[in-house]
Amino acid sequence: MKIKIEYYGIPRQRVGIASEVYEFDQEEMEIHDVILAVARKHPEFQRNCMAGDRLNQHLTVNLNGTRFYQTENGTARDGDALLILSMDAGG
Amino acid sequence: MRVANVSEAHGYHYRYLEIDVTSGAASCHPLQADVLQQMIGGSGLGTHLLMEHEAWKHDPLSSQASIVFAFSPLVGSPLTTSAKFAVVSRSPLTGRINDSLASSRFALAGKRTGYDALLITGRAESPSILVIDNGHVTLQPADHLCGLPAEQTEQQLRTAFGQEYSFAVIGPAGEHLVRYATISHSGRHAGRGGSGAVLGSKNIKAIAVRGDQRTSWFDTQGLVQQARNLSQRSFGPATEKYRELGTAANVLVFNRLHCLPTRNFQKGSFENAENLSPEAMNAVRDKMRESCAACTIGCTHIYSIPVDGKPSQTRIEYENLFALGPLCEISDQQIVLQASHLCDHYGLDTISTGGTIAFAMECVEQGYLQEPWLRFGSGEALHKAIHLIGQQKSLGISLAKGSRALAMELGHNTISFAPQVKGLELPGYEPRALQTMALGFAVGTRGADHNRSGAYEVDFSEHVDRRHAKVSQARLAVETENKAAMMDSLILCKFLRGVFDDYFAECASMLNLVTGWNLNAEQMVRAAEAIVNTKKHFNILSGWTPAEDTLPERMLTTALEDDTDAVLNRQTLEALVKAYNLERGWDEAGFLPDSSTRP
Ligand code: SF4
Repeated sequence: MKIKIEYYGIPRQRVGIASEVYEFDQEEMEIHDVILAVARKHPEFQRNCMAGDRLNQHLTVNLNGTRFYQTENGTARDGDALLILSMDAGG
Repeated sequence: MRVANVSEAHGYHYRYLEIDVTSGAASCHPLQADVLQQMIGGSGLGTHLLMEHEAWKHDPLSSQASIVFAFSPLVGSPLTTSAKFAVVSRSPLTGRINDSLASSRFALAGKRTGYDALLITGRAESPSILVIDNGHVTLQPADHLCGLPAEQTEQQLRTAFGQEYSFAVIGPAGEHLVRYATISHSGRHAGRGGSGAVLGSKNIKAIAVRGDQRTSWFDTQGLVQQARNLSQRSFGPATEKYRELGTAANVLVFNRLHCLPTRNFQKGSFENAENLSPEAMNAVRDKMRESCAACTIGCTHIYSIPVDGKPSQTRIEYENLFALGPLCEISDQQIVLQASHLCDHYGLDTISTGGTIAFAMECVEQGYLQEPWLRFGSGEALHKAIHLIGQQKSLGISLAKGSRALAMELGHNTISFAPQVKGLELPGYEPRALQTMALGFAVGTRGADHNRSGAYEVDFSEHVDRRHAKVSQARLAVETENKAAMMDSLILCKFLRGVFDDYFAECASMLNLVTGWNLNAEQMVRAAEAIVNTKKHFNILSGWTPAEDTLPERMLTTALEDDTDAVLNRQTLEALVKAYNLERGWDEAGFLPDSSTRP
């Protein structure tokens, strides 16, 4: 399956790109495992955006521009877009 | 732990100064500890003083109206982001309570005059500078400053008065009583709700303050330690977004989530949003970062722009970009930055300016306003409209009253799409896509506002479905509002809020170190609630009715064009408002339980 990862704000600064597509063998995957794959690929992301094996508490994940999955407990399926962004939307 | 005894005064001066600018007379009034423990300072204290002076009775632009500059117990302490002050008055835009905050040296110098607040009433005979030197008050002529923008006014005052003074000034918009004129200080603004017009109506072009009366701290060592710890945390990931990209980082995120208000709130995304992102601006412009006084975060991102052919600069925030960009359907970076610069020049709130102009653009499009030049997407029209507002010429006279008044003037039920609540234009959070925030906007005491309610935080969490609100979210909205009320009264910058683990407990700890009090987290929550209740009480006395706690009709009857799942109907909003009122301990309609507060 293919998952598009979109980076916003600080994650984009660290990874250096706006988006990329990941290919996995499974039909569906835990969001947490997708995040771990991103962290494995991008050492800067691992260093700056993760706290242990989770996103740091100031970042969050959104699936397809709809629901947030801050605890990374959700399922991503083929064709989904996973947005990684700041929790803080203060303006 | 040692607790201060009643004769010890730390953190506060325990008094405020009342100045009648009609006569120039000043009088000092005591402030009791029990009042300060409830109202804290800043917004809370300012609202309390307005209640005492029955400011709800008076037309906000009349000579009887009062305006308060309220400092706070933390001002002057080593705690990061604490150099702030609140300006509180009845708003000429909404007729309700208005508290707007600004940062910097005016807060430090103002508190050193020896007072916790300055309350100004009356009307000077001619344009004046109100000078407060250690509590000694004089009025000096300001005719030579009339018509000058805020920045030049400050420059001239600095030359005339010297570096020891700090200044709060109004620009031409304040002098012309534009209902959303700001009060400026060092390039920052007490922006929303028209406090600049209130000062202008008093013929006060500028306030100059100087003083050497510092308050003591109860536990200096403990405070320094806490301040170090807080500063350390302020360098961490919680504030990274603000430091590196500024609030403008919201543009692309909000656009992707369809909550970037576009074309007068008809859509939640803008196809050219990328042009207005900080990433795009950083690629083509020089940028520098700046901090308010006593701030370790430094969220202010200043970009280079040409103005009248000369190199200049402008501060950029998400709210400026949204209101002067997508809301008016303008994607040209330079046009938007220049529009923001123009708002600074005149001393205009960018949100209300953009909101009112975008509304007028839609009225033109629908044939209700015969100004064919004023079209969505026209940068030239945007600039022209800002000039007309700032100079109070032709259409600018109507635009200067805000979108609600303009809709009333135009009729044809244009009020149904005027982007305002209680007369205050909505900030850049599309309510149909962020429905806890929709509730926060509807019930906000100063109108639609993202600084007094942080309910968007709830929408950005996994606890709720942001496009399908449930009444259980009302409690979460109350919590964010309480936090904001405390932050605006202590005062600390909201961009710091992510660093706290136990917010109210840490607020209590900071306040105790400063004052020697022994408050706990629970008492801080009660104080926050008391502040919100006092604002509500003010509004009730000034004529508030439950019908005001709503959103523009179009937002309750029409889905977002580009996200048809983002629907908010009247029944849902009414249920949310009712749940919010009950959660606050008010009656279902929103009146306080004490029947004496009913009109
Ligand atoms: S974070 Fe920004 S707004 Fe807040 S005090 Fe610092 S510079 Fe000022």
